[in-house]
Amino acid sequence: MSNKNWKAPVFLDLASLEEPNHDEWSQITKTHHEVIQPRKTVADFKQPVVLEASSVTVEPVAVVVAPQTEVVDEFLAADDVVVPESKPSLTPDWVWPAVGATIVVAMCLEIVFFLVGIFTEHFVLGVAYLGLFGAIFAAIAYAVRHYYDDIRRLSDISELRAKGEGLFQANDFGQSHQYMGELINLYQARPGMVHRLEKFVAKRSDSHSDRDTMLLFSENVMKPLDAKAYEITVKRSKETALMVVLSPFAFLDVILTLWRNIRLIRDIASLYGGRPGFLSSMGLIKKVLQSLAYAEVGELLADSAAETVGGSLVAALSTHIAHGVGSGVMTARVGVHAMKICRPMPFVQNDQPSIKGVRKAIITSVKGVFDKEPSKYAEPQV
Amino acid sequence: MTRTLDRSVRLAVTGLSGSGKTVFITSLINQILHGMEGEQLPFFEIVAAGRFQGAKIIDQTNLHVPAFRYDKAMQCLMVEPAIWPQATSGISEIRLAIRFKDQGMIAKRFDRVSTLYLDIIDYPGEWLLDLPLLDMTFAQWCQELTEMCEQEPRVSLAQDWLAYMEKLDAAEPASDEQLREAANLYTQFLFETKKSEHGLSFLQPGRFTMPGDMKGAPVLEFCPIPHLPEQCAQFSKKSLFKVMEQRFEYYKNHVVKQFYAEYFSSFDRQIVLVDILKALNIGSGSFNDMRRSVESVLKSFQYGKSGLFNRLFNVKISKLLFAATKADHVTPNQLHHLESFLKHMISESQNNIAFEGVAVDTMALSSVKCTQAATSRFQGQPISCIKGVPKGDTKEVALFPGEVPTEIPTQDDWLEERFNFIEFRPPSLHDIKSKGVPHIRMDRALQFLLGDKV
Ligand SMILES: Nc1nc2c(ncn2[C@@H]2O[C@H](COP(=O)(O)OP(=O)(O)OP(=O)(O)O)[C@@H](O)[C@H]2O)c(=O)[nH]1
Ligand SMILES: [Mg+2]
Repeated sequence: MSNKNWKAPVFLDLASLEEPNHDEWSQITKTHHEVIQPRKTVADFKQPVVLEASSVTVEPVAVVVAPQTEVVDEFLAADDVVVPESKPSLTPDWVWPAVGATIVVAMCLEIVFFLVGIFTEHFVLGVAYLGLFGAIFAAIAYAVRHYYDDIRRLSDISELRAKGEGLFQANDFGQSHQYMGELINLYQARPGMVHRLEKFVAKRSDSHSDRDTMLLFSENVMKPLDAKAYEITVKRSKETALMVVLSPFAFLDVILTLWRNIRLIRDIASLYGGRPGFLSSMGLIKKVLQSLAYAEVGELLADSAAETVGGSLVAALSTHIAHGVGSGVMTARVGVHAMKICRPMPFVQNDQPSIKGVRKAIITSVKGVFDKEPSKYAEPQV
Repeated sequence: MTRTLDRSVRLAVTGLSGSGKTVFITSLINQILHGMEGEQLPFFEIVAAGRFQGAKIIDQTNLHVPAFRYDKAMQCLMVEPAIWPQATSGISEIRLAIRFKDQGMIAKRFDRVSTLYLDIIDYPGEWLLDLPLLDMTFAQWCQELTEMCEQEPRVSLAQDWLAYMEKLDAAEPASDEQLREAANLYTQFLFETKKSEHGLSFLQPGRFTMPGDMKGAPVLEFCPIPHLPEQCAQFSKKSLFKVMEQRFEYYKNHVVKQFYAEYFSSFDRQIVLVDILKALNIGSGSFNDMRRSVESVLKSFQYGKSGLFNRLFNVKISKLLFAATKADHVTPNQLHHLESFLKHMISESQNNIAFEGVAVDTMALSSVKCTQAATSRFQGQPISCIKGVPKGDTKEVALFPGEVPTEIPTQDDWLEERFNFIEFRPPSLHDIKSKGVPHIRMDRALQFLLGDKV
């Protein structure tokens, strides 16, 4: 019988009511609004008593507005919130540093061999190349460092994500209040977001479950951000693909890819308003290293493939293009992964981003560049 | 004229008397008519995606059927203080045209706008229980009723009628007066059991308590014969039994069958509304009776090849939704209790009811949300509660309405005052004319019932 202790009705004093449990999200602070179910004490429950209905003040629907902040970039609005630096130690398993080290060693060897080759032929040319490479390295190193700092400055989003995950799984009622408040705080300062947040608040009803609430937020507030993040991913992937196709050296591919990848992660993290936590960063770093490895190894393969095919310009070009597209797709994987771990609300339902569309977009854009130019070269080839 | 691109759906709204059909239909129409505002139906895909292009009530195809008075029902909710629409006494029909942007690839390119015609009929819930009669002979029906009248509260309520029947001999001819008196006493007994303090719902035949346009017609002058003798089939043609049997058959063929053939033979979606809370309130007798009624109705609606409904009317439905209505009587965190309770209740009957090839879903909903969720403290603990004006009152109350059980209560579980889900007055809508009626999960119901057609 113990499992059948359904609770009996209780009448309550109207004046004792806490505010209807939504509507005041813009004022939300760190206070908890947890609703704990009463213990199963059926015996204690008396006959229903109606208590005097005294004044109940229902709080008005608060409009979600906050001071505008400076716009940094069309999509990076309001992300220059300075967050005290926490120090997640980014030490992955030994495997990935090893991969990283291998890439670096391969890259250095390649550079050294290349330079030695040049120097033995022509000293001045060698110096010029050395200077050029040095300058490119310095510029990219500076940029990467800059992006990395940007990412570090964002707040760690992983806790918020985990909370969202938990709420969605639990599918309870009235527990998502604080979480939604935090999300609203995260986005309300951005231009264009206020009316989306208001739409969300208008559509929400007190009978919606936590899951319903999250779905509504995802649909009304997150969706445009997701679209933007996807757009960025496609854009950066295309850039990577083009750079890799155009760059003549494998080591250059690697640092260009690194540059685009870090920028991509920075952009997505700023867009969503937070950086991934330590654990989820591991997966991301792995993906970045994979894309770097692909840039390095793929270029060498492409070269040798072109040679075996016969060294014709078209063959070389097409293997290079294939490699470029491949690098672009690797970058897209990084972007999609970054989206998954930077989004403060986990992707629920079937709105998961995928790289399916990216490959096509990359091929189209790379083709767009080459379709005109190869035609010039293609003619004498026949 | 229905262009080939346009579609139509006939929705059968089924539910016992008082289960909330009229209110559901009213709210459904209201929600759709206010779909353009897009705030009330976030989980109805065409509205959420902005494909909805407007809707209006249009002339129904069957011009001889009374129109469902949506305007009258809305008026009840618009007055201050708002009241509930009255119990339905006859059939009525309404047709809605819903315009929406098509979703298909080609349609999207041309920005095509299509129309979905939605037909809904409303009728007294009492008539639903006539359906199981179609599968019964008069003798079987008498047998069933005899058994039912051996249990409380029917034994005492049926006293007068039973005593009168005692005096009649089923084998002998009976006068018209005697027949009329028997039917009269039986009808009184039905009305008695229907009263809110007993709250029984298994009341057959349905036209006795809700005659519609048949008030006083001789076809309604019959009743079952308790303790029917075995050899009744050999009784003479003029005997009480044969006369009653003949009228029973006439009732089946000319009243029940005709009604269902005319209005239910072409529907393709069905929603079954069940008011679990009311049945729980009154007690185990009422609850078991309601359960039995729902089961027997569902059995008739069984959608296999062997199902009665399919056999008689050749109906093909593709979607069936079971809905626990009046979900605003409980706190929102108990919606899924209500849902799983309903699932429990029907799953037992579903074991022998096959819904072949039909998409079935269960949900708790409220057509008109009369309460607000809030939190308070009780014995030092936070407690979630609801706030609203009780039916027949003017002052707001806040209460924790008690818990909905998640499994069917056994006999020992019916403690005094265990279940007391109070009814509420509808919210005053006169000041929110421009917005749809507040509801719980009507959008999800719409999505399930119409989502694939728009
Ligand atoms: N709180 C609340 N009460 C409801 C709701 N829907 C129906 N009710 C109550 O249930 C009663 C019956 O609703 P109706 O829609 O008239 O029921 P019906 O199924 O049409 O009944 P018949 O016409 O007799 O077959 C109403 O008078 C209300 O008191 C709802 O969504 N919320
Ligand atoms: Mg009705």
